[in-house]
Amino acid sequence: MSERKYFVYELKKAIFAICCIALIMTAITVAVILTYRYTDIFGFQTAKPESGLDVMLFMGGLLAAVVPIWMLSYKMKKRSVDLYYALPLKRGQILRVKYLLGLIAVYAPYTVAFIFGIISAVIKYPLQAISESYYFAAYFASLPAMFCLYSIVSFVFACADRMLDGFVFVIFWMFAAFAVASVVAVFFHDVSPVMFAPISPLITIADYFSSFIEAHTLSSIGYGDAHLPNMTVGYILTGLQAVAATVLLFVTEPKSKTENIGGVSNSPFGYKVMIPLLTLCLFINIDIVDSVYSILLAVIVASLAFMVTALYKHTFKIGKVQTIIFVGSIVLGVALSIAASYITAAMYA
Amino acid sequence: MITARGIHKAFESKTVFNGADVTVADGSICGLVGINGAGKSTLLRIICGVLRADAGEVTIDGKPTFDNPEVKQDMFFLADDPFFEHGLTGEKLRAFYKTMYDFDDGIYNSYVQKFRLDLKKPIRNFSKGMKRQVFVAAAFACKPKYLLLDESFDGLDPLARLEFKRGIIDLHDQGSTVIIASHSLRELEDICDSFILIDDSEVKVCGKIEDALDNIIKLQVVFDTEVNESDMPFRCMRFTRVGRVITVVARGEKQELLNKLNGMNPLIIDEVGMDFEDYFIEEVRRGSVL
Repeated sequence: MSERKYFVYELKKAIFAICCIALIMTAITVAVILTYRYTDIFGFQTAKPESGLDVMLFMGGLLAAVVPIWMLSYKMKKRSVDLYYALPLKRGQILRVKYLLGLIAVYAPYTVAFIFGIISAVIKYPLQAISESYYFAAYFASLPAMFCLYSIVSFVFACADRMLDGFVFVIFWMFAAFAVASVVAVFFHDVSPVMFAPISPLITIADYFSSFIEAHTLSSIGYGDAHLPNMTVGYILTGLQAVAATVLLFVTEPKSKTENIGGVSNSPFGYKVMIPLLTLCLFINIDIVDSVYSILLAVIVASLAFMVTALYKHTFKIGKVQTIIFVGSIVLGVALSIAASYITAAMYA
Repeated sequence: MITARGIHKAFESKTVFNGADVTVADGSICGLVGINGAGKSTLLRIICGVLRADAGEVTIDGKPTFDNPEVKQDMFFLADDPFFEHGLTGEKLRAFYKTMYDFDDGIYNSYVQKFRLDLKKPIRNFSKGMKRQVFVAAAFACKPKYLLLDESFDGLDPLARLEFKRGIIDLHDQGSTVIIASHSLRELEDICDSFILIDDSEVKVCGKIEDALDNIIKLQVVFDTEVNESDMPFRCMRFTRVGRVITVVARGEKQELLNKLNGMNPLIIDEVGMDFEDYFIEEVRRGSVL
């Protein structure tokens, strides 16, 4: 009973903000689509229109990544936790309300912007230039992709004990699987790292359906088919991450240690694993023996890794253990980078 | 009845509670006292489920409180620095608590009038005391069976304190149990019938304020010669001497202590009134209960 009433209360409270978001998103989407120029191919202004799907899906992706931060920020402040966790609701119920409300805050503005985006495209281009029915297919294909992104970001953000750490965790996770896949790609060149990123389904949906929407005037029929395997793999990988993230989000909620709020975010899904992992992956990807610029890049990456470690520990005195991890991941990354250079050279020899 | 058994709680390396046991009888107004950092707020947060004990359990009438809406439906926790969202007004606060509790508009309005609050103004624009007042009004309007207050006298002007204390007593008269963590010991003495003293990671003393004060005596005694603490016929919690005048604080049965002291042939014995603040200072100063 209380949960339903609480949901209605939160919905009423958020409705104005959701309307504002819808308005802003619609304005941006419509403006971008209406100002699109016909594609310049081989120096000719061809009749190929732009579907505008990329901007619509970008907006959707942005919402799916930002709304969880809005919804779950209550978990990052001691004062708000004092209020929410003392209420006659289970922690899981509060989370469920916020989670569902977040989904509404993602889907409602996105849908409005999408509809106005289609209308703008139809107004701008002659009807025979675009196949508007594919917009609807793209819309329905994008909904689960956005849900996946939303769930992953929700879980990752909730793992942090400070807002700032939550932002960093989200950024980490946008690149974590991509970074690991890019390392695999260093050794096995036929792997496409982008399909491991949580945003890969949205990217491939935009590419895949755009090719059909814009297919009337350009020989891009069949181009979309090339994206289908990537979209399927991306969808499966991101879907699995999303299922795991959703389960973990709700399972770990009652056990979350509220006393850690505002302190060092020690979650294994955050700095603890991500700093060495990303440092290692970035160093392997830098071809250290290639040029002097690679060394400069390595110095920048090492500096960034140190800064993020300092952010993690809330001090520049990062301690013995963290120093060992920091130096170890750099040394290992350099060693593997050199090994990769020799392996690649041997393969092409 | 609120019962906490074997509560352990540590924040990283700092142990706050090491097997604390607490019982608060139904229908009592209990003062939760201790020095800064003793764990008063932590205990309140464990009771209301904001924090989870590392070991042990808090129950109300045998039902665990942690993550239990059924029990928490009867409980209201007013934190030392209550949270409010940016645009929250007194009206919106009412709407919020109405979704959670059997909210009494009449009580809320009456306190809002007493405190002269503008319900349409954002709470962020209120002074510290007014912020406290609007939450106090909401707390009373929720008519909780168990009201947990953390430093709730802070920032209130004397009139508001008076209204607040009256409100607590009214709530108590309706059968509610109130736990107040505070450093305002004189305020607590006015309204509390029992107290819990937390010190050194554990509950040191727990009982009726009246009994505690009855069991401790402060005397000013004048002798014809200088007397040392070692000369005293009983163990002193505090012993101070200015010339031939000594002030002693001791625990025990009053008449028995006086009889022992009379055996030393003093010139004058004068009993000095002990209040709860004196009692607290003596208990904590000694570091342990004698």
